[in-house]
Amino acid sequence: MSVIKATLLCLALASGVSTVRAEWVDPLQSAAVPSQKAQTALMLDIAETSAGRLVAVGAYGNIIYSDDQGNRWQQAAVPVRVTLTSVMFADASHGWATGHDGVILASTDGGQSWQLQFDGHAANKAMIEASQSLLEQAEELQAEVADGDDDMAIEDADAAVENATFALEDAQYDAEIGSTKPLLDVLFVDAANGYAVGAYGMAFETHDGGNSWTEFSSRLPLSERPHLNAIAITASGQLYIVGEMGLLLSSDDAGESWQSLESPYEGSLFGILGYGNKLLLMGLRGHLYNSQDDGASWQELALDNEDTLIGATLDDGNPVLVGNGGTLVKPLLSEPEIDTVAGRKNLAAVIAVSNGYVLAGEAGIQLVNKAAQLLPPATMSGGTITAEASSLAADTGSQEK
Amino acid sequence: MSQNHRYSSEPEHFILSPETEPLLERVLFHNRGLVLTILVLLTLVFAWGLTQIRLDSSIEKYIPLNHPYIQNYLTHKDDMQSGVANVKIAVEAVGSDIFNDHYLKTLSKINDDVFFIAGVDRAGMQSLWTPNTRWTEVTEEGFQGGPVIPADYDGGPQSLDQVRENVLKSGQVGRLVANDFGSSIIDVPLVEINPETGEKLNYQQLSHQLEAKIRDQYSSDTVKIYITGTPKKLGDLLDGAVSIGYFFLAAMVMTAILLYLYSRCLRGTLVPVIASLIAVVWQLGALALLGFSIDLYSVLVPFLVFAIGISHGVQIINGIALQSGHGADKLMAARLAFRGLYVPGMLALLSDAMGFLTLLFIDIGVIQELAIAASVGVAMIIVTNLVLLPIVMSFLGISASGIRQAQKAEQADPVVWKALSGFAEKKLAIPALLVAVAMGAVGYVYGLNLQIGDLDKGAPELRADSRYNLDNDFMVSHYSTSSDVLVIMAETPAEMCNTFKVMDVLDRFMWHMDNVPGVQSSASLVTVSKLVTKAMNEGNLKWYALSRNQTILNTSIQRAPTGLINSDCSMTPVVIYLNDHKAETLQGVVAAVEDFKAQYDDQVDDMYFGMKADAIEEAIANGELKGAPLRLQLASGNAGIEAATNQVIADAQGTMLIFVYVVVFALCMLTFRSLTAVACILLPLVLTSILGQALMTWLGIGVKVATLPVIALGVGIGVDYGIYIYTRLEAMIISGLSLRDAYLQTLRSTGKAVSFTGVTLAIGVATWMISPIKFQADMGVLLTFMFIWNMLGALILLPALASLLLNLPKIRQRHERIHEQVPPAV
Repeated sequence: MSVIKATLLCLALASGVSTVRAEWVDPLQSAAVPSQKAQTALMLDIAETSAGRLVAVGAYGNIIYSDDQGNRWQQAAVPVRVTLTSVMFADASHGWATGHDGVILASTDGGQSWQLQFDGHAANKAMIEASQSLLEQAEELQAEVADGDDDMAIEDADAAVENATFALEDAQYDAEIGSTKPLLDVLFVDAANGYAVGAYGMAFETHDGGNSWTEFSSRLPLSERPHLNAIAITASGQLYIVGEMGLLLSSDDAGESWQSLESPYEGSLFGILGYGNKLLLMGLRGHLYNSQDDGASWQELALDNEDTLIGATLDDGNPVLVGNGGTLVKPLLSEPEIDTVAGRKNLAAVIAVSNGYVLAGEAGIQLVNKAAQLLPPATMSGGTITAEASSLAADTGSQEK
Repeated sequence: MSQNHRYSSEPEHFILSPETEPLLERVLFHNRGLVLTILVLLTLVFAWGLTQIRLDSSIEKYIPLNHPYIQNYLTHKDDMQSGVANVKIAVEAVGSDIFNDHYLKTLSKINDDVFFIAGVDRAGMQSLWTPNTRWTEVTEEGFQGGPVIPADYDGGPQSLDQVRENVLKSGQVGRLVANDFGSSIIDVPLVEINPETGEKLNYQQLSHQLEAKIRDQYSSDTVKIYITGTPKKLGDLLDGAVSIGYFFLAAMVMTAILLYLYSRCLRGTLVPVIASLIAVVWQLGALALLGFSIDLYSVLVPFLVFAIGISHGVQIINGIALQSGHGADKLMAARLAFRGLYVPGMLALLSDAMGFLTLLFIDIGVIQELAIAASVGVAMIIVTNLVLLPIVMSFLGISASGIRQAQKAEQADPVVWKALSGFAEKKLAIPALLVAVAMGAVGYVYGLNLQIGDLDKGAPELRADSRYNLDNDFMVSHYSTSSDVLVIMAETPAEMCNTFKVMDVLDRFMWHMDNVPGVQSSASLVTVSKLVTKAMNEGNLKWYALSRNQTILNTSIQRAPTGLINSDCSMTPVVIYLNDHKAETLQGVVAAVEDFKAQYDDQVDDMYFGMKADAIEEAIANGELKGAPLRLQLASGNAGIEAATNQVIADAQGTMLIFVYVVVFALCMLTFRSLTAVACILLPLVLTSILGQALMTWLGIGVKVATLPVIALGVGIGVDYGIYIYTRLEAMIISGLSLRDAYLQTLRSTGKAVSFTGVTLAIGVATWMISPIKFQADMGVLLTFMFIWNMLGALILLPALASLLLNLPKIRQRHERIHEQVPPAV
């Protein structure tokens, strides 16, 4: 008669007999919870493997994958439950994802299970080490020039020491706060070489598939520590990083050296997309710029849109952009198209499929046709397997710690 | 039987002692004038008391105040803007969208009119026209914002475009503005205590003002008004409670007509009606004098008192008419009727009262007051209808036509009686009982699916097609808010509710709950923090997460709405929006909360929750605690209150039914001193109880505050029929008749009164079915069924059981042993 009572009794018995009370565990050390609604929670990025599988990442450490162009999804086993911001696959099986708390996850099985490679604590340590060595270099230089009579050089050296000291103090402060700062984008040019960039100038690279990550923000021509919002590569192999306050950097030597490009915009830049041999730059409030000369000069695309666009993909070679307010834009058609997905939920990423687009955003995964009209919602399939795999992932995750 | 023999009868049974009834009879009938005077004076006192009665609209009485959920809710009541005292007025632009000058101007006028309605918290009001509805946007220079309707709004196309753009930027779509832009809401918080007069807000008046000043005034071909919110609902309910008075009048008139047709005696009609009305006056007057007030449930008690009063009055009138028909004079006829009916009447009324009192097991104010009101009422009937009525009739006497009618009935053998008397023989009794057992078995199995709680959407107290529920449907279908809300209160030590660990557990909890079937979404301080963190990072969705940086966390919740965090940051609610408030949904959701609590509540000593932040930091530093302690407390919101109510009901249901049967059994046993007699009386009731539950399952009526009392009432009142029939049947057996003849004789006299009573009571409660208040209608359906079915049970199953169980010679022997040759009073 009293189902509630019975349930409570069962719970009491269950907790009394078998389960140990789960104390609060840091999100970095607890696995993503299996969910039949993962596709409806915040999703921030989608990648496609070379085998045509779609992999999406988002809040609560949720990673889901679909082999049927986004209609049915399965949940992957993920050892953390932090918000994941970006995902990229180098081939059919090797993929990486970044997230808050400086997390970098890697998968070798096409996105079905993930291992933690890097986190905010490691990031903080790397940033402190980097700023320490910068400071040492600066101090050496200062000592070298101190005896000379080149006032300019002395002044520069003093300033460099001051900057390096500030950078070290910042890094130490960050370490005190903890692992919180997010990595915002990941790029792998092949299964060995990759880059991850994020908040407050964080930038890391790997040349061994992520087994070791080293910081490269000290090689970037940055005066302050702006958010690095995105990193991209063009067909010709040119690398770009965009970020706060119109930050626009490029490298033509696989990231060895970086140059500042003249930015067409002073507000934040959220993405850069290579298409053909051209570039498309995405700024705050829907600002869009096109370049046909590798970023040397930019032309603004004046569209009737004020919503910030942060997600981009190519549909048959044509850029398709998505952003806040459910905006879906195809800016470079002869007659630019601006659509609003019903519900106006903010969007973060888009992938083109045969019958339309798979969108990731505030409302999770949404499917729309080419005219941005909503299609029947995506569903989850399979549950128990993920639960087991997930706890397995949690074990491996905590072992690594 | 000689006349002498007849006048020196005595009751076959007694309740307290054999001497009570004869003594009472002598005292009352020897001092008729005095007794009558006293009763008239008492009536005057109670009538005065009646003028003091008032309608009570407090919400507290409707919820189980002692349930832990409610205790938790009351602890934090003042810290939460629970939205309980909010009215939402949706103004629809019929046939267009809201972005036209005519609509916005009308909205502005409505906004102004609402502003001046008494009880409105003017500062908290929100609509497109209030200055607190703003748009914000991240630009290269930082945040920009302004009121949604610009100061220079002129109604021109440019202004309207501006409004449209601002609305989109304001984030109010789905909240203040409908998802389809066809309407917008004026959100009206209320001040529950008038700061000037200190008086409590009168919801009924407020509701009337909203109807008159807003709905009636502004509804047109182009504008439609929808009003929802608990205060409006209560107002509508109180209006409905007043209309119940008309049903009472209707029931009274119908009863009087039926009674006249039955007795063919004007005096025999008016006296029981007036006596029953006096019982109602006494009941209401006594309660008013005791300081009780009328609420939506106890407003029904006068019906019950009147109906029960009539049912016993009919027995007395019937008895007097029969005695008069046998030749007794006015006084003697009344005395004999009193003598014959006092014990069964008393027994029946005591059972009724006990049945009502078992409702005290339900720890909900309205039900307990219903229990008290109804038992007081029944106690009043003992005086008015068992004492006052025969005394009045001893002066007035029954009319000649009434006597003829009774004589006719006693001699007549209508086909129905003949057929019914067949059930007193095994030939018909056994099939009848087999059918009854089969029905019981099927009913039992079917009734196992009976649900606890409310099963309909919308405001369950009102009908699905009521104005309020239609308005509510409009809100739910056009806005992104659910009307079914469960609130969990997260408690921490002071100044710790916004620490990362606490917020992270809340975040985790919300995701846990989002995955539970029946949950639409959840919101809390965490939602605010994530939203603001995102906004502070230029609206980049990738920043929609909690920061571990306490400075950033603090900044992110600086402008959190009041109600999402209390003044010393020791409590923050998690609001869970549900699909509906069906019992099944609530059970699942509550179980999911308990499940999470069992794992993540910090089951640390209560003392930590009273400690200051510094002390907690210290305890964390020295390893005493692992982090800021947190406990998630169920529950507030309408769904939380309903979940608590359902639990109280589920717990009380079994106890109550067992107790009412035990009490009735004990009373009957005490009186009849025979297990077989009690079995004959009670077993038919059991069938009614079982079938009643099956009926509830079939009709989709859940066991809830309104229907649980019916289960007890059904038994308490239903036992009357059996007691009266059995008493007469036993007397007839003692006089030497065979069971079938004895039962036929019983039917001619008492049976007629019982069937009349069954129909009368059923009609009285059947009028509730047209009540605008859903739960009163539900009670009406169930009580009607129970009265009719109990009557059928007493008329068919009682004789059938008697044919199998009763040992006639033994009954006669016992009578002779106790009463020798004195015949039983009937």
